[in-house]
Amino acid sequence: MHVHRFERIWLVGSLLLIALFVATVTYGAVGAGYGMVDAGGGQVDGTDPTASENFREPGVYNGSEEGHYDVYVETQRFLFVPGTNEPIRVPANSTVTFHVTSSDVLHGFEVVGTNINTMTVPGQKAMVTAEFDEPAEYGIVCNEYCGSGHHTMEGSLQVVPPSEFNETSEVQ
Amino acid sequence: MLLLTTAIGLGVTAGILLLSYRFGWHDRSDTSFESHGDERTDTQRAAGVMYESSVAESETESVDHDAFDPVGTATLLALYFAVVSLTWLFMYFVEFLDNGPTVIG
Amino acid sequence: MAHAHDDPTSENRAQSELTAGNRVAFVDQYPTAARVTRLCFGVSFTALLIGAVLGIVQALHRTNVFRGVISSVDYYTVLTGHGVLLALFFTIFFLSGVFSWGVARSLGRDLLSRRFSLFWFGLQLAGATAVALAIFGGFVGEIPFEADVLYTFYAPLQAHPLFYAGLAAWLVGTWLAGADWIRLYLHWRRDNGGERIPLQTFMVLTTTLMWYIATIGVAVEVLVFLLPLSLGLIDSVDPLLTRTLFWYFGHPVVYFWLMPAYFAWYTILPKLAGGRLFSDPLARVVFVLFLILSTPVGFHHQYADPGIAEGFKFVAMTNTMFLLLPSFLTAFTAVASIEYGARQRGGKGYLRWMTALPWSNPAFAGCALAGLMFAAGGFSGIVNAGMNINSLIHNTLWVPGHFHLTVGTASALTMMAISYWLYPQVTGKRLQFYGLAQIQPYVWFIGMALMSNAMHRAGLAGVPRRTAEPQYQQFSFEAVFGSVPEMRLQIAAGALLLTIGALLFVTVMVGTWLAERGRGRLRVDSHLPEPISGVSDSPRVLDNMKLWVVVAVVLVAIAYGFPIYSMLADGAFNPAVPPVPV
Repeated sequence: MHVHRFERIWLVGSLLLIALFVATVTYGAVGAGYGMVDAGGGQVDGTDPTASENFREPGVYNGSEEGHYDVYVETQRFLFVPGTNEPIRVPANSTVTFHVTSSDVLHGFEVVGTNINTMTVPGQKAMVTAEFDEPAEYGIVCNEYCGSGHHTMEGSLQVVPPSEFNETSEVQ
Repeated sequence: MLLLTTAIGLGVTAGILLLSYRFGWHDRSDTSFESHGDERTDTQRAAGVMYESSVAESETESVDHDAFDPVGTATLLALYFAVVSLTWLFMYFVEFLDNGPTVIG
Repeated sequence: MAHAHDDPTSENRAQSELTAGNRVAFVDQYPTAARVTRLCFGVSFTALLIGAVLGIVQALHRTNVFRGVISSVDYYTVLTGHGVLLALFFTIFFLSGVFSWGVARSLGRDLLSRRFSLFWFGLQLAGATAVALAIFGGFVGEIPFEADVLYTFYAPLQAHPLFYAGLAAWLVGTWLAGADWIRLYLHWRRDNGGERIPLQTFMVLTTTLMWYIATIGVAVEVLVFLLPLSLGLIDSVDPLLTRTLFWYFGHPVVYFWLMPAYFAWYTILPKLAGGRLFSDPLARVVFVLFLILSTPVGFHHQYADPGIAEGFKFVAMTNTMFLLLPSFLTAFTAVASIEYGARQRGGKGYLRWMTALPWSNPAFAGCALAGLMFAAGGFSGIVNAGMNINSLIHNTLWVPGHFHLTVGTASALTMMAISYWLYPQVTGKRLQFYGLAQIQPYVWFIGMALMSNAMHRAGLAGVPRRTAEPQYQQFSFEAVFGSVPEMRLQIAAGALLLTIGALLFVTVMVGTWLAERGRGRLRVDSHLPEPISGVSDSPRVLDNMKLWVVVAVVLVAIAYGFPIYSMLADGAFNPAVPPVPV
């Protein structure tokens, strides 16, 4: 088959570009350590997540070690529990694992302006772990259509200076 | 309000149809796809069958497949290659990895 | 290459036959195919018109420029209508028409059974009408139909059964259309034993076979789960499973939008530019790659889903990146083909040659601008495909920014551009309002450039998609490039231009439809010049459809077999989630 010289060069160039993309993404996963949401969260009850063993009452809990917190969030039509009626509060210089699920339809859990962005699927638990170094205030938005009130579904995440974070009262 | 919009929409559509009828009904002999002659024989006209315009002579000649080196294409694709690689690296390392709290799993 | 026209005297004879102007127009040469194409285009353009009007309502509403037309609750009805009418009906009715034209033209014979062809058209139309009724019923409280489920209709959101039944009927109609074209090909094959498949038919066959493989997922989702759920025959589904079945289909459907555009860029665009297709064999390679790689990448739409192991997401990522190859190859072949035309027209230099192209020909201009925009859309798609970097833009306004460049321009603008050239041939009418046609592609291009760039930047700021009022109380969006108010303005202005572009197109088409049949001769011809590198240079294995189907199925089994098995292992309806009617 006759393939023009220029086309052969472009074919090599295209494969190089593709290799660049795959290599960068692989670096991000392995080198920079960015982990994807996956099946590690396990399954939960489709309508009543807290009935399952791997999902606790929504709130902030102490994590597996010092400076690590587990935050359990339920997404519903049309609020984040916690997040909407009261902000989620964690201290700066901590590592937080969000455990998120839905008790009705698909929702999104996006911490605006960050890479914390996951689907919440009834029956499945999503786990996302992030390191919060600086104090900041973030909005939380539902970015998956969930019905007529979808655009009202918002919350907030407050990363407060450690001195302002009261371990005994704020952690369950 | 929705009703009003629908009514206006239908009105505009009706207007377009009317204009099309008035101005589009008759053949125009202005700018066309090809600048070929418009000759047709009496038999063709009478039969009611439509004919295509005549084919450009250049389309009918044979061509040597080695005769053409697409240097312009090579230039454009070289530019594209550079833009895509650089923009990708920027998006990945600056926009993404440098963004906000580090997600580790 | 041993062609008839290698011999000088017969070449002269063939040449003078073509230039004599005795070619009967398609409308009279293949009446059944012409009728089918006209009908399909009619429905396609109607869907485009309604979808475009819905689009401007949406754009003005979510940017807060004008919210007087609908309430925010009704926004989701509008959004469902916009997505379904444009992404399913405008595009696929167009494909049904242009492919019917393409097989008849390239095989040199009319569709075999008028009744069968009209039947599949009727079935597609009936299905589409039922779906539209279900969606628009949502505006009128008294009618019990409602389908505010958006184009993706994720469970457990639930629409009226008419929505799912209509989709199923429409889908079967598309399967029958494919069968019509395959049947014509087999009929041709009986008289043409050793011949290579004509290129346009080759493209139609590979696209159709890809469609059959791809639609299995959504057919199962609708017929086994969602339709029974909406009828109350079952009381719950596993949302992750149904979502996975949707995205099994949801990625290859974009190739069903793209391949008609590639069909046009490969076979028609070179002629419009005064050039020739640079390489027929490479066109075949590209379409075979799409047949085998389009479906096993669906998990790249589920990167942010829990319940799916990272390994499957990684495999989808590598497959997707490799799927860039046929598009990169197309860039070369398409541009080289039109460069050849530019050189023929006297174009010189490394970049100046582009000015020698026929930019005043709307069919050419639309295709060329669509191709240019696709290069940008492809890049934002690479970001989407990049597994971890996807988290930056998942479900943000970046995603509609991306697909308005791809399906919204590469496909849609090409479809409009080709119609300027093709519609006269299937109707026997000369194109009316030619001046409007000439400016339309530019209006569309500028409008899309404005709207899409703002959508991309808004997505980087975290602005969500699919949201009636992306203005929140507890926080505000911080833009990295530009400002949020300026982005909203660009989206509204761009959308307005796009709507005008759609209206211009429909005006030209309606005007042509209503015009008198011309006095004996069209201004266009359907002769497609021989490629520079012909099919006889290519290995016969490319035409071996059975082999490629087997490879495609094996790749799908590898990508989807284990994940779907593990979702089914604990029961197809487990975890059970009840429906939520919207």
